[in-house]
Parts: sequence; C-alpha cells; structure tokens
Amino acid sequence: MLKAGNEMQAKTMNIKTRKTTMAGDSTSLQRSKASEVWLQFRKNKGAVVALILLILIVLVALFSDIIWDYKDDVIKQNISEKLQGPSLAHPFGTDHVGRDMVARVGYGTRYSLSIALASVVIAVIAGGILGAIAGYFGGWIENIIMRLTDIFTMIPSALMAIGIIVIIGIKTSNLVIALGITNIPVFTRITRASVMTVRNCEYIEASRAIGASELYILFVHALPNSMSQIFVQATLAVGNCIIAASSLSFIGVGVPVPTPEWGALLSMGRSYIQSAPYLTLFPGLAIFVTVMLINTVGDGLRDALDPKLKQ
Amino acid sequence: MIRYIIRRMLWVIPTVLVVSFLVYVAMDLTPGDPANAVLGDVATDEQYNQVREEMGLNDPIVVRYFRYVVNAVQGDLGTTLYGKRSVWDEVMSRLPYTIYLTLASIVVAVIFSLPLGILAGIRQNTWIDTLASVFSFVGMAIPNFWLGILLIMAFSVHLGWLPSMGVHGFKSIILPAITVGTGLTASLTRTVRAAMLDVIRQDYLRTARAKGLSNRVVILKHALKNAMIPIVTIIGTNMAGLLAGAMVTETVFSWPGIGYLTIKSVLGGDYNLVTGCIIITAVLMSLILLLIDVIYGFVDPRIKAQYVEGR
Repeated sequence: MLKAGNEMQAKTMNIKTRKTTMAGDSTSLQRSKASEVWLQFRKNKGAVVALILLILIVLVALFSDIIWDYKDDVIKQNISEKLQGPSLAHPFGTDHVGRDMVARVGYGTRYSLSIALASVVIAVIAGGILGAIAGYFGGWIENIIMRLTDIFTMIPSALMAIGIIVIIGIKTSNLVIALGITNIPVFTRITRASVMTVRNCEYIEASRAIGASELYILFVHALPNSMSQIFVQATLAVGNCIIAASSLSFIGVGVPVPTPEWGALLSMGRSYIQSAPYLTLFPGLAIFVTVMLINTVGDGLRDALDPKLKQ
Repeated sequence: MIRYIIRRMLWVIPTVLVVSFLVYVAMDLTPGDPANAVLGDVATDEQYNQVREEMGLNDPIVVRYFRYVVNAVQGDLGTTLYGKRSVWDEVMSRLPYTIYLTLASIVVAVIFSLPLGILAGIRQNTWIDTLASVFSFVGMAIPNFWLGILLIMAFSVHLGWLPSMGVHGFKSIILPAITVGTGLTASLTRTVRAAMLDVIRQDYLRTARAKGLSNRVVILKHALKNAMIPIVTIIGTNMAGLLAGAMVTETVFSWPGIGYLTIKSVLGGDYNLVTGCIIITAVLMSLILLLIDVIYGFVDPRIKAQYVEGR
C-alpha cells in the first residue's frame, strides 16, 4: 500500500515538473533538476560534512601559492632544522633537509588534486567519445572498441601506467597522461551502456525523423542522458587517481623530485620510519582523508541522482 | 561445459598476442638503443652496424615481433641488459612469489569479509553493520603502500613481531598479505552484505525455514551458497587491482615477486626485462580471468546449464 502511495506521489510530481517545463524555458528545467539532486543530497548528513571539508581542501589547493611561498617554504633547504618532530612551529615536523612538512603537505594538495583531476578529465573525454560511438553505432565499430577495452582492462592499471611512463618519460604531465589512459576503459563501458539504453527510445527516433544528423543526435540527445552516471563515476575515479598517482610517485616513476606530491613525500619519509615516523604519517593521512571524503561525496551523489539504487 | 572451456581458452591466444604486440611496439619506441648498450660509447660505425645486423635490429618491427613470439613460445624472452641472464628464468623465478602473495591476500580478504559481511547482512542496522560499513569505507580509501608502512611501523619497528622485508618463512607473508588484501576485504564485505540482504528475502529461504531447518544451516548452506556468485565476481573483477596492489606492496616489503622486479627493471632501464615482465603478467591475468569464468560454471548450476544447452 505504502509503495503504491509513493508511486502515486511520484507520478503527480512528474506531471507537475512536466507542466513547468512546458511552460518555462530550458534553464528552469536544468535548475529544477539540480536543485532536486541537491535536496536529495542534503538528506545525507555525512556526505554534506564531507563536501564542506572537501571544499576546504580544494581551497587550500587553489590558494597554496598565496599561503606558502614555493621557493622559500616548500623547496628551500634548511639543514639546521632537519628532522624535527611535530612542534608548535612545525606541526607536522620537518624533513631530512629541514623543510616544514605543513608547507610541503599543504602545497602537495595542489599537485595531488590537479594531477588526479586532469587525468580523470582525459579519461572521461576519451572514454566518453569511444563509449558513445560504440553504444550508438554498434556493429563492427562497437566490436573493435569493446574488445580493445577488454584487453586493456586485463593489464593491471599500475603496470600499464608504469609502462606508459617508461615510454614517454618521467614528468608530471606524463603521469597525468598515463593515469588518464588507464582510466579510459571504465568510462567507455559506462557511456556505452547508457547510450545503448536510450538508443532505441522514441525521442531519438523522433529526432531522426525530423532530419537531425546522427552525430547531432548522439551528442545532443543520447549523451546528456548518461551524464549523471559518468559524473558519479568520475568523482570516485578522482579518489582512485589520487591513490594511483601517489603510488607511482612513491615507487619513483611519478613526479620528479623535489615536487611535494603526497606520494613523493611518503617515499622520501620512508627512509626515516624509525627515527621520524611523522614524515610518513602526515602525507599518508592527507591522501587517506582526501580520498575518503571524495568517496563519501561520490556515494552521496550517486544516491541523490538515483534514489532507487539506495538500499 | 568442456567445449565452453576450450573455446574460452582459445580466446586467450588472440588477447595475449594483441597485448604483447602493443607492449613490444611501445617498448621499441622507448629511447635507448640496445646496440649502443652492448657496445658502450666507444665503437666505430662499422662495428655498430654489424652489431645491429647481428641482433636483427635492422629488420622491420613486425618481423622482429614475430621472431620474439616464436622464441617466447619456446621459453626465450631474450637476456637482461645487465648480467645477461635469461629474462624468462628471471621472471619465472619471481612468479611463484607473486602468486603466493596474491593467493594469501585473497585468503585474508575472505577470512575477514565473509563473517563480517554475513553478520552485517543478517543483523542489518545494528552496531556490527555500522562497523562493517566503516571498515569497508576505510579499507577502500587507504593507500596500499601507506598501510604497508604503517603495519611495518607497528609490527616490525615497535613490537618486533613480524619481519618487515624479504621472505623468511610464514611470518613474512602476513603483513604483505594484509596490505594487499585490505582493499579486496573492503569491497568483499560490501558485496557479501548486499548479497545476503538480497538472498535472505528469497522464497527458497523462507521454504528452508518453514521446513524447520536451524538458522545456522539456513544461513551457511542455503544463503551463502547463493551469495557465492557475486562474491566470485568481485574477486574476479578485483584481480587486476590485486596484482597492481601487489606490485606496489612488493616494493614496500622488498618481496621478490614480479612487481618488485618490474619496478626495479623500469628504474634500471632494462627494457627487455620490462617487456618480459609486462607480457608474462598479462598472460597470467588472462589465465586467472579464464579460471574465474570456469569457476562460475561450477558455482552456479544455472550458468552451467546455459553452456551445456547453448553450445
């Protein structure tokens, strides 16, 4: 009974929104969808707190060059103050050449976040295009793209990233490219699946009937429908990319020294786990907390966009 | 069933060929000339050309790749750059360690996640459910290498209970296996819980209860058996991630597996060895995926029936 009641309510709501869209212009439709998602998202207290903390971290990343001076605080060596434990002056301690770890971890936010974000953007664009083509056109194109995707997922991502970096060289921009490529298959699969579900919808047929070109239909009608799924996956992928990028830097094939990326900081602190454990503690904590916040927001977003999925 | 397995095995061959071709071509593009590496800096052009001819470097890439494959099938992947040892022997001597670590981490994941996931599923919304979800959240966000270092700090440096590196009997596998297995434990706990929630509401469980079976028998025999399919799936889809995690973890613990070898050869610029490592890992990966597909058939009679009728 309760379920039926809910359905009724959903139906009336649907009718209402449809009416407003018919009356209003397209921007009001978008606004109403965004605000609906936000209303859903707001119910999840944990996700809201995570979002606020995440925004703070992003602000640190954006303004790290104002908060700290890269040359003086982050890079300059100060041997006389080396390996000091956490204190008021240096809450995270100092490293083996006397650099303040707060400044280095703080500045690292900018590197770690932007590397991850840029990789995901590459993956979303490339994977989105491939997946859309595969899902929309089908046939042999789909076969080739999906078989290649299968094969690519077979190589462990870390191995593939290392392989790509070996070929194009150790550089921060190359790290982004390598991580971007390893993340393409995920987005190819998602986009293909969601484009396939709308491919045979009536509105696509209608659009074709009034003479829209296939590419226009694909990008204007079919793709926007898969956006919410892609967005959720992209959020979660940013978290994974932060871990992947720091893993590679930790191994020594990520960012070049002395870039204060979190994994690189950890790798350096590793030689001092007996005398100065705080050197590995704080950069690791930074990665861990950031990724956890991103995952919480991502999960909240998924539930908000598709309440049906929530258990 | 047997025909399906054979078909599925045959599919491994083109996959491995495509992967190895991509890797081979990519490695060929890397800077660095094997002939130069053999001769050193002091050599006349004549010597240089002669060596290139002898090594077959002047042939087109397809010819060289073909030769590589023919040799590889016979267990010859060339020699390492330094020390001129057989790449095949080198990789094969490391392979058991990686397989050992991967299997151990699966065992760890199953030991922890099965009870936790089952309890969380049958006692939904109790403290154990909360514990399980907190645990899986932490497990998904924690970077492998950082966890490894934390474990070393706690159990090797402070408590002195377990070795921090190398292979010295059973004690050595504990920390690396926990490190690699944590991510899988996290996602498995979620999966087991969801699968239990799903299965517990099925009619056949109600029937089993109605027959007067004890709760334990119902859970362990009826519910768990049917929850096995998603569990096997998750282990399967996580294999690539597990191997990737093993690569990084091997470096942290100086574990003599393929991952550690790959990273050492990458940093040392030994491209023959890198190519060998990547190709063997890809072959290993495709065999594991094959195994998982076959296991499906045994776990779920419904899937088995499909193979038998369909093909």
